[in-house]
Amino acid sequence: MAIEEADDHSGEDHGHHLPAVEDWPKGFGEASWWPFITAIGAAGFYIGASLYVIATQTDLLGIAVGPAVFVASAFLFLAGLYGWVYHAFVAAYWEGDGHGRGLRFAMVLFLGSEVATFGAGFIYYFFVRTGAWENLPELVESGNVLSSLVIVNTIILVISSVTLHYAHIALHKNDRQKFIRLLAATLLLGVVFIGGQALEYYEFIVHEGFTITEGAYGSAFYGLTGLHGLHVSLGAVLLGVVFVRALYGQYDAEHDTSVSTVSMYWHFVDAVWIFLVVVLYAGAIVLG
Amino acid sequence: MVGEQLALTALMGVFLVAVAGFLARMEDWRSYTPLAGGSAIGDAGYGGHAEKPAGIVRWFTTVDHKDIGILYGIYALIAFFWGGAAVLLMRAELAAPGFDIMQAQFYNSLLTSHGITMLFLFGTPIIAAFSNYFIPLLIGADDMAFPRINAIAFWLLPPGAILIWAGFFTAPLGLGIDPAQTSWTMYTPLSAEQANPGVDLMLLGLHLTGVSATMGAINFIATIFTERGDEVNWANLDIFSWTILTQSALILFAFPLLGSALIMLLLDRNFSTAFFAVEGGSPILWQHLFWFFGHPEVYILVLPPMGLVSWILPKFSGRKLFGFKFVVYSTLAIGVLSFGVWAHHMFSTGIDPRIRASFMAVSLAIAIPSAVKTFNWITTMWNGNLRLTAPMLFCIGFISNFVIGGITGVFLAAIPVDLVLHDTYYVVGHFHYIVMGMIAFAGMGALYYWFPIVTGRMYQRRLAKMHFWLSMIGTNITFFAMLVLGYLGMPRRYATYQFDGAIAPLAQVTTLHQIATVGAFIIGFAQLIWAWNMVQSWYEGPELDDADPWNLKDDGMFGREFQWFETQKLAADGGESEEVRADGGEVETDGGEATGRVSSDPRSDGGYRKAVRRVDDE
Amino acid sequence: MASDSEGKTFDRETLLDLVVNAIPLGIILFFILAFALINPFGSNPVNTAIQFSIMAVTGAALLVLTYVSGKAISEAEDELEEKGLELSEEAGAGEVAEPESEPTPETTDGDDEPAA
Repeated sequence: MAIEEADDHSGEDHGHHLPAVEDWPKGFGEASWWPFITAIGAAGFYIGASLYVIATQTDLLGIAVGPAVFVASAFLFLAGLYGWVYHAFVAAYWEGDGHGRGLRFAMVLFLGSEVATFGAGFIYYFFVRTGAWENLPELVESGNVLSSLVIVNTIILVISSVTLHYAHIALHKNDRQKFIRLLAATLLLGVVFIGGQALEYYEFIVHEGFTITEGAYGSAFYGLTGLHGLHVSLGAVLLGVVFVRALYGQYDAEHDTSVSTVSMYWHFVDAVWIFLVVVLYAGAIVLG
Repeated sequence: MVGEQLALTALMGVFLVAVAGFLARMEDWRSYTPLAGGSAIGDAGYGGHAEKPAGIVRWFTTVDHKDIGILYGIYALIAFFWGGAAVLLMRAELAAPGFDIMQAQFYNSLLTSHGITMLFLFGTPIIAAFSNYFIPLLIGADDMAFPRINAIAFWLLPPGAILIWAGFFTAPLGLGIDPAQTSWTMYTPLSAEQANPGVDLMLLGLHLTGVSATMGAINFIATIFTERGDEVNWANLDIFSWTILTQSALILFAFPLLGSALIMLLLDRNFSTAFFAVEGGSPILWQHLFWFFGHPEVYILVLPPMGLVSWILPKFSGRKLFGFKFVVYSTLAIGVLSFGVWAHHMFSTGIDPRIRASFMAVSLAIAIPSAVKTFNWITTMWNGNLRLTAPMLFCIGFISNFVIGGITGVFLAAIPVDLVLHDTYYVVGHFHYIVMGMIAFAGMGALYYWFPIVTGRMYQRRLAKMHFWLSMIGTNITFFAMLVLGYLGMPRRYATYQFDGAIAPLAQVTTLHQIATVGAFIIGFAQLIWAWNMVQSWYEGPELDDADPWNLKDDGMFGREFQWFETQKLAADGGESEEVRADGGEVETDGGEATGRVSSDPRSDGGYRKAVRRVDDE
Repeated sequence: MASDSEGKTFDRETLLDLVVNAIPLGIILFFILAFALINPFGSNPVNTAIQFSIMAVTGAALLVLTYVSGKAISEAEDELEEKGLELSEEAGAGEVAEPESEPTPETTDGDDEPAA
């Protein structure tokens, strides 16, 4: 039952050289600073958040210190991430050494953990829906929360899933032109969706006065759409990386691991959105 | 207040000295590498971990599962001593009814820190230490599926611990950032309304360690599914890997949910959302979410130790694990059922009686798979050729403590009994029999069992046995006294107990508290012996002559990790191949720990075929 | 060991091994029946549905996982048998390098496992 991955990089010429520097520290194939840097960068987010909280609750710090640390950590984190991912995955491609199956499996597991992450938010919403379903904001009372913007946005996201699926199929047929075009379309639709979400937030907060502190529904609405928005944004970044790598011609029918993992992620986020629209937008106004 | 400051300062001093000592001696630790570092002879076709940077850089840059396992271990043990110091202070306070050496606030802080530290910073990481080091060896993999993710997961932990403990560092400075006083359960509305940034720091730190645990879990599942060697499949996968697989699956669903709940609590605290407010999700929602994580967490902590004992106990019984498949299937059963029992922590919260009854049903059902294992262990020893080495003693102690801890738990699963005993020391006694008497005992047993592989040396057996007996006696004194205290009605979580004689007999309660305190200090003393033994033996213990310090070959129980060790050792010894038959020539010591044997069997050289693919990076 | 398994999903040995999970399943079934027959708290559409679904869902999940894992393990056993490898946790080194290690103490494994 041991899984052999030889088929993932069959017929690969091993004459490639790494298109970039050796791993760091140099000379030790199995030692790398990148995981440490990535972890410190990631921890920096939490430290930044801590400093922000300290600044709001005491007068020890300026309010800007936390966000500054947060942004600085983002750079550190991204640098670490680049070094790690590059040497762990991209370099492996050039060396003709794939990880396809393990990575796809890991993505499935990650999506399983995401179910739990979103699950907590939805459980909260169901608690509110079956319990303290009162003092609803005007938006819900009038049914305006399910606006045409949301419906258009939903359609956009669904189409982006379709285009990504066909991009993947085109890649399998080695139709590079079509692959890149459909991938670009997916990325564009994803960005439009994020723009639509930002527009919706702007409308709700500025014009409707519906904010995260607006009672039980406000918490659920901004908590869930915010969490989902973060996921779509991450998905767009991943799609961007895949797109750039596609332009460099790093994929073909046999080398599609990151295309398929990112595609799995994107479909998952899409499915969550549909569920979210049904229960959070539509579910709030029907049977209200 | 002065007492608190003094205690804090002392605690910090001990901690800093420990860390400084650890850092100072770090470079010498490379001395173990000839064994673990791999070599071209023993590890045919794989020299990935052969050379490493020198000094401390090695530890920051390592992606070798064995090094990361050691880092996890050291981290967990630092946390163990932090949590232990906290509880000794608490026990000292409880030796008399009044406020004697600290105020309630400081006691509450210690209570919170003890719980969080032991469960999140000691329990989960010490298991990760064993699984990181040994799972790849046991399943014949070159390394974890994703070695660098493994390294990232570890390096998220130290910042997490610093955030969780931050309040203790900043409190003496008078900055207004105090340690959290929420208890480890962080129940709302207390945790949502406690005005203290220390609570937010702890929540953020917990979230970070949760991310780390989830990454580790994904890595372990991927490793066990995709990196097994040629000759290992589901039918002969070892029991420890089975338990780690189940545990990782639990982590995968439990920890992210806790993560979301923590973020919701943080939003409630800082952005006035209504997630756990009365007009929103209600404080009970927190308990549901927390225990939906919290009960699987119990099994996250307990399944791998069960796996360790199932692995080690047969080695010293001279028999295979009785009913191996029973243990496997019941482990999987626990994994599934553990998600259907969470509300048994909430029987007294006034939830619907119908729903409460079903949680009782599933809670009673989950007792069976655990009980099955107990019988398996006992029948494994039955008529076996028992050798009472330190690891074996800890395994037997584990079973003994589990019988008490487990059965007291079955009582608590029954609603009527729980309503009487809820929030008393009975509950505390019950789960400490599990977490200290069981989890920590299995961890200690495994540490002794694998000490020779990790260090290439043998520990001092006399000290190890002292460690066991003192721990065993201390554990039973402390936690049995707690069970009795619970029957007397002593409520948990209080710094004092000067109550009305109508509630509970003060004289008896005081005596029992004093007994528990004495027991706790016995446990503490035992761990000091253990710490000395570990450090001293690591540097100066007798080096192993062969790769079979436990004489496992005699019984045909030479496990895969020791087979790997043998290839390493043979390679390190220059591949010497003279074979000295040990027939009849063995030294039968008290524990069978014959170090004088010379039996380097050349047949295992290179016999350990590695996985098809090199797994030097993800 | 598990030689006569053709035609059926599980042979007798595997079924015996799986009995261990039938016990918690039986307990859950007992309570489902008991709560269906004896109902001191009255019925309420939502709460009664939750009451029975908690037991039914965990019970069903247990059943599915036991089936899947039992299948995976018995298939793996057959596979090992084809390869002539040993059905033991300790197995892994001896076989590949040295097939003649048969008469060593490991031969007792064959008797030990199925009794489990």
